Amino acid sequence: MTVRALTLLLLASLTASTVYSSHVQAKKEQATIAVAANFKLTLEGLILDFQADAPNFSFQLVSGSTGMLFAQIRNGAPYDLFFAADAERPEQLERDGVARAGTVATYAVGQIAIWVPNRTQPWQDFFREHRGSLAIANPALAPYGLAAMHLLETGLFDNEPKLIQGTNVHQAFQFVDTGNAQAAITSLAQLIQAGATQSDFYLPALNDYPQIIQKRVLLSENTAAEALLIYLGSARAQRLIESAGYKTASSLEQPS
Amino acid sequence: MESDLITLGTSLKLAFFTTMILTLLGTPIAWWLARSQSLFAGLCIPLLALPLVLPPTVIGFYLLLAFSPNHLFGATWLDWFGSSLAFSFEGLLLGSIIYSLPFFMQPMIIAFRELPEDLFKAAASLGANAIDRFTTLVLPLSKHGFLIACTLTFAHTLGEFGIVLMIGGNLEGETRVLSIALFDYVETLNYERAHLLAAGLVGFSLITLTLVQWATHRGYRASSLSTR
Repeated sequence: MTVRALTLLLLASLTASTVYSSHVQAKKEQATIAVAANFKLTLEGLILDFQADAPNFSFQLVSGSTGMLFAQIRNGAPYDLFFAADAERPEQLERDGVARAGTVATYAVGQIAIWVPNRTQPWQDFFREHRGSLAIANPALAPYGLAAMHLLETGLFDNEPKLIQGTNVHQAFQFVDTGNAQAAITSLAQLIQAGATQSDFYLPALNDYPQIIQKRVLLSENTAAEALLIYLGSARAQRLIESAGYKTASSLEQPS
Repeated sequence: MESDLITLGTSLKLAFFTTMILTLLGTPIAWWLARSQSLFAGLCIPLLALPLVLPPTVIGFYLLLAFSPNHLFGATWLDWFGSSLAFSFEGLLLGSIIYSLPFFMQPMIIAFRELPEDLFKAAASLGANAIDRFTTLVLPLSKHGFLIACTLTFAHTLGEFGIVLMIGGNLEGETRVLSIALFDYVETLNYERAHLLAAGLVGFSLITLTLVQWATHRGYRASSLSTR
């Protein structure tokens, strides 16, 4: 008797919670976004800013490396929107018919920076005399690592530094932050997020390395995702992206 | 392909040295732990098993901090040897020894505990000293224990990933091991090469575990015979 009563109670509460949650979902437009690790914090800030005006939209972020997210999406991961750290992966998804046709666009252009905390020499002397280690993101995995390799090929350092590879710019940063490496080529965005002192980093000229074009693509028909993309095109959002350490397509068009 | 062979070489070298050092250092400690009734020994056994339950990232994180010249251990090491442990083969070796510690110690402690105590008393009464007893009785009787401990340690080190990812720095011929190369291939969608390495690791691990299973089985028969 008690067992039957308990079962009934359980069933009733299950039904109630399902009805309740579907009711809530009907009110709130939700989207799941896959975002490359380097843009995650910036996107979180943008979403907060967006939600201040549009509280009925909610977003769930899944962050990881572009390659990993790409593999997940190809294998059916239920994401509505994908912010990649490169141009290639979103374009590939569009060609494969996994993404919605005609929705690939550049949302940010990455900048690399050389970070040397507690630098004692002027930059020119540092580049001439540095003989220690230099942490970079793995060039095979991360566009920022590839850009770093190109920068090194311009002969920036007089002596070839010992290259330590992290899986991404965050790990390259962490190797220096923990004191295990002396210098890193990381992203400007990472340094701004970490609150690094401006005199501790060096910004190479944009044409010294291939542009790190980061593209996004829509993966499903989703109201929340589409609304967010419209917001990201606004001048206000573009300014936020630039202050986070990225160039935007519009800022690159104007000669500075 | 050539780079894969270099990576395979690094992995094998790492597994070999880890197994060798653990055999040399771990055997006397396991012997003492298996026999000792002290409270200290009782505390050591769970401590040694800790790497079994901790995620490798925890060990990697602490090692990264310890290796840093900003901390005592890293600074002392740099003073004595002139180079840092981070991003070096020696650093990986130290990490692997800690990570594989329980895979060597647990089977050895069990093997040593199974040895019949009376036999040693009898041998001692016949005038065999400690070294004689160890080489003529302990070693041959715990042969299967060594085989299990060494194969598990070797195989477990080959499969190590999280710690290497955190303290390795992916240097070819130094710290790039099979699991890291496999990770890179998957991330860059080079599935063909990834399959090659993955299938190789699966095959090797299966053979190893079969060997361990066979040794355990034989070991049980051997120990049941010796006590009869």
